[in-house]
Amino acid sequence: MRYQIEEKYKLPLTFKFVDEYRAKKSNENTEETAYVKCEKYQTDFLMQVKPHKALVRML
Amino acid sequence: MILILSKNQETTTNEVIKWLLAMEKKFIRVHEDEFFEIKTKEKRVYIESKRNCFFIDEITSVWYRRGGLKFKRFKYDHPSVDIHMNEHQHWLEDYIIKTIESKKHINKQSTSHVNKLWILEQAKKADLDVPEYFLAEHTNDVILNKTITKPITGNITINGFRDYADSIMYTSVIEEKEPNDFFISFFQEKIEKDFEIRSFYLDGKIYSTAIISQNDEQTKIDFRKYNLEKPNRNVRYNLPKDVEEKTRQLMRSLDINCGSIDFIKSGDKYYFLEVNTVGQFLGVSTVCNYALEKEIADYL
Repeated sequence: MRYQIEEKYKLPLTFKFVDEYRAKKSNENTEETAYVKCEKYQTDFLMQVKPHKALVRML
Repeated sequence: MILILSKNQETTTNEVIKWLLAMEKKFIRVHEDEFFEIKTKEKRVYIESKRNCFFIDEITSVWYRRGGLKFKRFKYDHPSVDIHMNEHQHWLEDYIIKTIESKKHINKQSTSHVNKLWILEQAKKADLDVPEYFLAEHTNDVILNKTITKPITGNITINGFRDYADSIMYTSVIEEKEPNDFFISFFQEKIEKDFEIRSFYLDGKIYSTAIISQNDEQTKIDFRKYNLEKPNRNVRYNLPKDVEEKTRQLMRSLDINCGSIDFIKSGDKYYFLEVNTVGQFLGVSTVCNYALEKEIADYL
């Protein structure tokens, strides 16, 4: 178990297989995501989404 | 007017909205932290929050993505008055939700949160192949290296735990017996797969993608352990007609008209794993040119 969790009650076995998927809470997460407030989309978190495919592939 | 029940920060919702704007369809987006009051005006019912205010009869279609309609409930001083008023308010809220869910919709607040264990039983009833599974508090009956465990919860992440990084509970193979008992856990027969299939289901239509995850040690057991340097190959795929028909039957029995369904192909069998009603589908939509965001916007 990677997590050292001390709980009063037992936990499911899945806790033994917890794995990191984002950088640690420290300053390792250097990639900042920029969001903008957007009335048109009715959200405070409109993110610029990079196209998965290069434009030349779509032409 | 389209009603979108979602979260303030939700990329998939933004992508569908991009299409709604292009199609000039009007919509109202409700966030997860909005609380509504139910009111009336000239015999018409409307609901009002800090962000939104709309008549129920204005709504023509609904997309339940995440979150849901929540209501402010008043508390009364006298216990017996409070019991009565609690029920009074409950039925008004129930009426609003039932009325909204009776409109043209993509998923419903009341049926969208699915029980993985129940779904496996329903999948077997629909005659889909399901890997053998059981619940246990010990590993006595577990066949090592041939059994996996995975969470029965929708949320498989553990975020913000002390100084640990944000983490996820992947599907994992049991390689050793546990000396001690643990909380009831889910175990399932490990299937040697040719590849995985993720199918997006929308109102009877099925859009499948084969995920070639078997040849990479990192993604072999759970393709969500993404190999970012050398991503799995994803290609369009057609499930056999009978598997598609059984899947439709399953989704009808669950009263869900939209979701992502996971299968494993092994030899000539297609093993059903689970349905995810709130999953991310933008990745497969883009890679396979399915434009699922447009399909959703079209349907609404």
